Amino acid sequence: MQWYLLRRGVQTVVILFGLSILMFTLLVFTPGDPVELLATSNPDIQPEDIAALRQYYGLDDPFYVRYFKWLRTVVRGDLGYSRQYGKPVMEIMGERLKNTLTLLTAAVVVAFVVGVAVGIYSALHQYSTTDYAVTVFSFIGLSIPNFWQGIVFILIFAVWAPWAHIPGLAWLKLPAGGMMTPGVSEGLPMVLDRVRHLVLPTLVLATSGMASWVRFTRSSMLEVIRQDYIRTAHAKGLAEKVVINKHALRNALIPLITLVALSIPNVVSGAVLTETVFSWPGMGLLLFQSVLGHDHNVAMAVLLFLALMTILFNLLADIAYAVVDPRVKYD
Amino acid sequence: MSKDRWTRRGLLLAAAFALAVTIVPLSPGASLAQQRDQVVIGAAQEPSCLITWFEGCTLAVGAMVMNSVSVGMVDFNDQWRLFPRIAEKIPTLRDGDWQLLPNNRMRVTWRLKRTYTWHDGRPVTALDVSWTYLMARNPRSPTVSRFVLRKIENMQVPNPNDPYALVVNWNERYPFANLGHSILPRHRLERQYLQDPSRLKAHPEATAPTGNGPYRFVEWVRGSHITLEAYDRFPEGRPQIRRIVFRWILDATVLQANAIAGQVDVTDINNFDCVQVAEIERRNPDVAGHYTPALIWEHIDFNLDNEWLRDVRVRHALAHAINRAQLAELACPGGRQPVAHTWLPPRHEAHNPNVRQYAFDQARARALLAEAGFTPGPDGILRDRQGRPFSISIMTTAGNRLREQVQQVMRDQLRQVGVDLRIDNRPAAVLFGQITARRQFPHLVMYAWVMSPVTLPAGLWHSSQIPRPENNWEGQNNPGWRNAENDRLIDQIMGEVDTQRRIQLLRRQQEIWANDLPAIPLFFRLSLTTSRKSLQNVKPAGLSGTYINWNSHEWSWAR
Repeated sequence: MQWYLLRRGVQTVVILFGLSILMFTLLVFTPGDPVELLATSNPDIQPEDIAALRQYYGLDDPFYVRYFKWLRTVVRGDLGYSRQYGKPVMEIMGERLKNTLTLLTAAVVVAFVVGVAVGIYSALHQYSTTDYAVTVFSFIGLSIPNFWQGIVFILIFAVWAPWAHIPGLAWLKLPAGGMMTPGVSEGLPMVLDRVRHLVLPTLVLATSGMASWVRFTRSSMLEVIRQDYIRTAHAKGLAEKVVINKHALRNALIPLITLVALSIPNVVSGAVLTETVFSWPGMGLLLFQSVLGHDHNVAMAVLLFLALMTILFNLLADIAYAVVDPRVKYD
Repeated sequence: MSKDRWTRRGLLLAAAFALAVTIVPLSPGASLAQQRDQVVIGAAQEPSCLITWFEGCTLAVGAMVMNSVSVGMVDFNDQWRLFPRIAEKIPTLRDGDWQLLPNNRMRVTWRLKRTYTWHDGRPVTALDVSWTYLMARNPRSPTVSRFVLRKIENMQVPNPNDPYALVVNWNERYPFANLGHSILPRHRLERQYLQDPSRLKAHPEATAPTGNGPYRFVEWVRGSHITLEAYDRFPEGRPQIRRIVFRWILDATVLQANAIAGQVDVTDINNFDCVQVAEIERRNPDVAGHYTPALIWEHIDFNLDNEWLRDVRVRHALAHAINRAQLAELACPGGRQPVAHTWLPPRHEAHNPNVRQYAFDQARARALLAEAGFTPGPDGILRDRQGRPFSISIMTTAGNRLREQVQQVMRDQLRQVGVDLRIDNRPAAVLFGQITARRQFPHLVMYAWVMSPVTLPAGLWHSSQIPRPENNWEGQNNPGWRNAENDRLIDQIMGEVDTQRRIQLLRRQQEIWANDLPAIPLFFRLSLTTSRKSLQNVKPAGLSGTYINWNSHEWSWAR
């Protein structure tokens, strides 16, 4: 196992290095550098101003020189400086990471709890009306692009909200975006306000994970409850609750652990669009803004973070698989 | 039965969790509609920093925030008229505080009011102005443009005992020397400036500015909002609204939803089109849409290096062949956006309403094209004298729904006079970063210029400003227009400090422009903003740099 982890560690470094070259190349060769765009939006800007700014940002250096300058600072543990925000990238990332983790945690928990519960129910009531309904909704959930779903949810729950006119239900009209109501910043009202802002982006981000985990739990559960050992457990006269909880569920959830771990990077990338639609000030929105603003240091840091998350969760899935299934061994 | 009990319990647990997350009582005071001591302004951008003439801080939304945080020596109002703010008066030639000196030099004397203070209580003085000028001129400062700064020889505060008098010595004639100068708080920035001017953008002042305006900066929650609070010592009167909050909602559709839902009170820099504003008004009767004529000139440049388009008759024919009234209506229904006939809008003091106009007249277009040597081909497309089909391309910003609609209509209309129009669009970054800047459009390109009341024609229309490799692609005369009389007039305009005389020259320049027609003027886009009807004294200016909150200290909620 130690050798396996070491090998994977070395692979991770190599993959990140390759990815960094690829991403840097894409960013650098994206048409229109910040100074060029500035020149087109400001009729007063003079050629000498443009030249000075290009020199200031090192934009005239060859691509590889710029890459190695960037790499040298990153290797020293410094992610560089944001051109847009005038702050160290680390500082900006710290602010945003907390917000993204809040949203991700809420989405993954909701998706897992609802997905597993509904999946089990669906499996235990195979071919019932509920089972068919769950199947239909799962496919809808898998198919809907989350930016579109976000806008639809905003229209239904924040704009239209017909129930808001019913006395006592006004609070069910949810915020259309953002992370907080400015001015509400203390005590319980602040906590409740943050939770209300979290509801819609969480539901949107959780939808596709929820849908796929429902499908997976259902099929995994159906496979397990047909096994001989389940039949034996029933024949021994064990209570249904014991059979399902102790024998069926534990075995059915083994493959789900891997699936969840592998799905998390998708949830992270889904957060880019969800955060943009809901103006949620997290890493996704930061990536969107930094790419638009040609703020390469920030964009590189966020992209590398997303890549690292993907690699780490893949590794976690492999390790978890070995932990929960004694038949799997890594040498 | 027991199986059902188990699953019911599981589902109950899941439902309870979901309810715990979703069902919470509304926090007291969280409804924006009820918070009558604050105004929430929604925008589809977030600034990166707030010293707006530093590189990287140039987003319009930063200037919008600063409209409430700081005021200038002079400012524009909603009538596009200059009015003195920190300055006691606007210098004029007649009063003698704007003097013309030999060798094209000038001297402008300003007096500042003693009543303005920075938000930390220190007085605003002429020393702040002269220091800001010195700092901005320093090549190591991250200043975006030194276009005007280079015209200034020096700034002096002649009497140390009177730090409210400022003398500005200009080394060349500049018609807008009465526009005032930027002011930053010297006492807050000077230490960092002396250490390293290039790091000024990283100074806390860039993101938490000390202003001199009606509202002082309180907090900036990145990605979410900026909060400002009324500054009680503002000499133009204590603001009636206690707090102004700027919220960033980057997606126009989501911002529109927020306006309909009443979660923002005002919107500006919102990326709305007319239909979206009308929809907000329809869905939320408490909101008023403001359709303000602005200085955003939508037009189509000809590439005059092309042998067909070099012929003025062909350009006139194309202008006659396009129903621009229909295009303007497409852009903003209801006749709100009249057709443009020149490059200056009707609201501009130098606008010339009597220039040559090109009505929609396809018979006239066909006649002009025949005169230029084009004959109908078997497929209905005209042929030039060499037998080549008259097929031209038009470029614009890909993904801009309105421009793409306009292109479709134009293509059909030009087809009717025998011109084959091919659509060839590019992303905005490519179009402006490369295609227009290097004149790489073969025939036509459609885009907009954002101008100000003090925009001069030199950069756009002087022949020395045609971008080409020899001048390192300098200038923005993208059509490549050359006209000797136009150049002569522009040279005069650039040095003419007498406003009335300059207006006359500009009107003549527009006549020449409209006769030669280096570009087809389409319309002047409207500045589209919204505000709650119960918010009083909202006066959108429709100017870049002067946003809806330019007079936020006069806003109040109706009782």
